[in-house]
Amino acid sequence: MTQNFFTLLNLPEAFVVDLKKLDQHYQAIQKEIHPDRFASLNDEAKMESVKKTAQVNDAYQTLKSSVRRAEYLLHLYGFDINEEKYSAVPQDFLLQQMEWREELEVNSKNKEALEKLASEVSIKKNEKIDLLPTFFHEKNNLPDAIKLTRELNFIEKIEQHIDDALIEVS
Amino acid sequence: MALLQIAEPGQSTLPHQHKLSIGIDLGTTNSLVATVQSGLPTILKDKDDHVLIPSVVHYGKNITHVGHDALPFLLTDAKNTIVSVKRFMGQSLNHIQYKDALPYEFDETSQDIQLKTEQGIKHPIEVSADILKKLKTMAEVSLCGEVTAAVITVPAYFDDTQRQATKDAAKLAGLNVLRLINEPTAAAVAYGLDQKKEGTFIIYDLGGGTFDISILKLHQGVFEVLATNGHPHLGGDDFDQAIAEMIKKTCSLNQLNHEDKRSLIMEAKKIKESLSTHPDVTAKFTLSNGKDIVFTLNRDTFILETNDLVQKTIQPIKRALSDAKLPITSIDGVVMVGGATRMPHIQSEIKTFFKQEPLNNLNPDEVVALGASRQAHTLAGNKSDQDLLLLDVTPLSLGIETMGGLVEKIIHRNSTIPVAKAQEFTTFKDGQTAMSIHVLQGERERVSDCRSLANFTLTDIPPMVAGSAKIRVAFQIDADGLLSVSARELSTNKETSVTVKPSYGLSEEQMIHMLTQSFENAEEDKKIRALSEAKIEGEQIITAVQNALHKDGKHLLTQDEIKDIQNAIYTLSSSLKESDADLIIGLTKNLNALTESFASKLMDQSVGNALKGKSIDKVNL
Repeated sequence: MTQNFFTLLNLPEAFVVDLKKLDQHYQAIQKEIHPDRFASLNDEAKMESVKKTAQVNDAYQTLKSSVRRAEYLLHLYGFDINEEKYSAVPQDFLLQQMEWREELEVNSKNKEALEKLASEVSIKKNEKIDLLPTFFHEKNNLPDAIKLTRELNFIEKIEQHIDDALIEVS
Repeated sequence: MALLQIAEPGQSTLPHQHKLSIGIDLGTTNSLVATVQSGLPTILKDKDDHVLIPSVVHYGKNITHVGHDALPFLLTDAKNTIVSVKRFMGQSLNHIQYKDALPYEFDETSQDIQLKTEQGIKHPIEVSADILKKLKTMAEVSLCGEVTAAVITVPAYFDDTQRQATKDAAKLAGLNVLRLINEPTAAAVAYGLDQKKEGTFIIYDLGGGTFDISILKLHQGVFEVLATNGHPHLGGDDFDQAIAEMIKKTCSLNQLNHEDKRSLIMEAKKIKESLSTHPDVTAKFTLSNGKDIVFTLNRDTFILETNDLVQKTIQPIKRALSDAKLPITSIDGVVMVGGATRMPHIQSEIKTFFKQEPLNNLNPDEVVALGASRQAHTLAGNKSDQDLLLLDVTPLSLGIETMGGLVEKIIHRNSTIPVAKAQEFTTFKDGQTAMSIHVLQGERERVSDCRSLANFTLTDIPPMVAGSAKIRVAFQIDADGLLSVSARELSTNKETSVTVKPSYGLSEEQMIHMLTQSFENAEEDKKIRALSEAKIEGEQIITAVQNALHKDGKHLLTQDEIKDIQNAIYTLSSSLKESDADLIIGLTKNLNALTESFASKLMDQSVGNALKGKSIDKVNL
């Protein structure tokens, strides 16, 4: 059975996470169970350690990123945001996305324009992330949390594409 | 089992016994061995005081020379003298660059790289094993004792096949590998501990044949790799090759024999090294047909001609920074590793790129082996550096082939290892009992652009209506960066068998064949050794289980479980008085199996212990 990631890392099950504490708890556990602690021992001990460490790594990576944490929390509440029924995207966000993609395509060789686009996208992303705590607070507004998390998933994909273009340019 | 250690970190089961462990930097051009002596990592020297052991093997009629002993044959017997074999590890024949410039005879009938030598066909894994054997013996002579375990370094950008090949070579050499660690990580360990540094560092590691970039966060003994990137076939050798091509062109040389090809590369290397300290260099040498060659090269031309090679290292740096989500300004230092970083134009390029002076305060040839020896020392169970923790990542994404020749990524590059991910599959025909899965490594979208790792066939799927079987395939990358796969049919909870057919590398049969060959003359030794190893392992496990039972048995196990375990301990300990290795191994396995769930409970308990006292604070929402 996969353990609840929050329980595993001894953190309260909530969207707002104390990132410093997350790091501390993660490293404290790693120091005890990492395969390096069992390198000279027998295979069974090594295997147990690899299994558990992989789980702790997964938990840590998920809780570290706001977007993945939101997605995971929704999953715990019984919502799979990748389901068909949530696929409708608000008109304004759709337009915004198309605008960004067009800008990326037109400026794929222009470093300054790409950097400007990257910072614009990043600002929009952070604005959306900042809305999540209120939506999640006492499960205040989960439908909007779902909508926002989906949008953030799209934004992260665009961010990656802009980044890739920036690496190719210059 | 021996899981009790997790409750008492640093306490080895046999504290009185100091274990000889070594760190090996198995390099393209040179290899090094280091060990921790009185708490300090030290590079070991051979009988002639050499520190760098050339990664060169000569296969003579009845004799194999390795290292310095093989050097005299470089020019006199080029075909049988293998250099830079690391570049062949885990590769297929059509992956080799400059194949025609190499003085070897390849077996062209095989997709695998097979070198025809005086001693018959040699696989790169066997050549590497011969280098490792030499290093092991050298360490044993120097340390006056048997080396029990080793850490071997590999380029961070090595894929699964190349790592597996390295591990196979160690097995052939009779080395117990505690861990494969990434070269830049090993360098960071040596650097961080030596200079007592904290912060975010980039390791720029340009060796003889490989290029790695790793970004690490160093904080209170934790070395966390944030991202890694690199180029699997880029190193000092390519700069030599570029100069050799210039000589060929300038002096209109074609149709060279094996020895001339070799001397051209050796001269090129000398020119490259001189250019690091001289503005221009003239080489004079004679070809085997008596033709005299005079060739002059100045540094500016060299820089111009090899600029594309230097630029090839910049792209991976940008990718690593992007993956780590770090701006260039957040880098506290750039550590230069590998002999090729001595070239002045590399130093200046890196200085310009990072806008800071690169760090060269440790010997770029030795730093990897020194770091590896530290890690070997800790992993072997010696008490020291207990707070040292390396968190490394997998360099390449792992995926499976889906419809239309595309790759679906399952584990993303730069995931912290160990990592495990599962994927569910279903059958598309009624009564289907088998299924093929193609595993690939790489970042590209198309199957043909990625590295094929293996084809798995899942068999024994219970026959069902199409789409109703649910097969969960779990992919796991362990702390060595090596992949393993398991599968289970969910509706019947039946384990499906996985047949692994590696796309490259050695099959199980080839491995066994090579192993038996290398032990042919030592059959008796092998038996004695197997028995003593079995006894040691048996004793260790008994002590470990007894301690664990004593400490945690009562609250984690039932009366019956304890009784069964005690019985197994009794039969195993009686067998230790006999000389039947197979029996001891069997009974050890039996005890291991019996304590498996106990091990898992102890692991959970130690997660709890790790966080004891760290109470959940109220978080204001």
